[in-house]
Amino acid sequence: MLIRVDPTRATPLADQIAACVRRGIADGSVRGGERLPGARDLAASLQVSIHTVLAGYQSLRDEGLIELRRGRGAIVRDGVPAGRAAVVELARDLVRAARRFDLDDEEVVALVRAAARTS
Amino acid sequence: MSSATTRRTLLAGIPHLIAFAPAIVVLATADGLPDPIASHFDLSGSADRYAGRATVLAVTVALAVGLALLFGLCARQSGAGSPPGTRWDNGRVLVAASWATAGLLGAILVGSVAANLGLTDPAAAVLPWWTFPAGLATGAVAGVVAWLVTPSIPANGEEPEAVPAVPLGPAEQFSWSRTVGSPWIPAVGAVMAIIGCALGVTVHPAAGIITGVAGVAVVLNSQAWVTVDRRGLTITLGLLGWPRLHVPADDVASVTVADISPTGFGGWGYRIVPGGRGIILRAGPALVVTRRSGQQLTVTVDDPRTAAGVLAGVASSGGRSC
Repeated sequence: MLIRVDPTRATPLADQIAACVRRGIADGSVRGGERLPGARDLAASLQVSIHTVLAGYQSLRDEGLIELRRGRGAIVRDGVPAGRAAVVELARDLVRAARRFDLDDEEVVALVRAAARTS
Repeated sequence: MSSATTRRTLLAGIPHLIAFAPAIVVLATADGLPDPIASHFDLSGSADRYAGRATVLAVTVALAVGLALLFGLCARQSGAGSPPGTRWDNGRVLVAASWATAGLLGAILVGSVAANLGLTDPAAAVLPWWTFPAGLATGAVAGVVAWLVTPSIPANGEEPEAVPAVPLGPAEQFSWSRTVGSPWIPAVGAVMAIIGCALGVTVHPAAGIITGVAGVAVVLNSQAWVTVDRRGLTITLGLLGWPRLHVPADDVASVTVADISPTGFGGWGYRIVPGGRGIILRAGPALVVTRRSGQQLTVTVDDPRTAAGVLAGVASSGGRSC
């Protein structure tokens, strides 16, 4: 799996790392049960802090995409449909787009609820 | 089958028929042979086993035909020219090995049959001490001659495929990584370790320890972690993270993708071959990196195209950015 981060972009590095993994799951290049690179190795490889990598992995765990276990590293959850990662990625894009137009987060949630009711 | 392969098939097969011919002719036609004849000799050269003349003749003919077919078919299978990632020309090595084997066996057979000539009692047959050294020398000469007469063939049609470089931002950091492993290599290692324990108990502790350690080494090296980033290509073998191979980004001359067969590297695992090294854990797609020195490093890994594109991108952007 290819993880690319650009420190000159406004998006935090941890989010960029998480986004790469999500896209990998979404396009099928990362499959369920696959082990992600160890946080220490990935941090050295990307020349970022290990805390940055761990923050990225934690948000992936919170989204239900990976499991983090002490001593076993980060493993993509078995049976995670590629679509789920794609939807998480779309939600992130939606929030980013909304913020660009000064919509606050409550308004975004309200918009999503409205869309869910009507469609 | 190309004409080069046909030629090599014949070159590998026919020497056995020629090398065994003198022994076969003598066995079939000579007058002065006892029956049964001495067919096996102990270390001091005295006969210690006997067999009927017809049996020995049949076995010798079967051996000649069998070896000719075996080496011929192997030469045909190994094809012509060296596979990607190595300058090891399997076919040529095979022809040389075939001639060496034919020379060694042919000389010893002739010697053993000749030891029986003019005798009525096969127990009196004595194999001169120099038969085996002479056989070895014949084999060595035959091998070298075969190597010289076998035309070298440049790499065949399966040219490695160049991969376009992935464009990379000047400040961008990236990390491509993947594990590669084989499910059955650890199984082989485990079996070796178990056999080692058995040997240690039944035969000799040293034999057990050597086999056991080899088995554990096989298990430990059955998996590799391949990483491409600003630092270049890093391959970490096994669970201990050793051995570790690294090609710095500025030492990368070119990156290609190829379909690799373990036979081109003489087997699985960490291979050192003429022209380079290989981490060969399965057959199939592989990343082939050529260093500035011309040496190649080949690693079998899934999705080598992405790895090759990124590595070519790093190499062209001059490696480390910070």
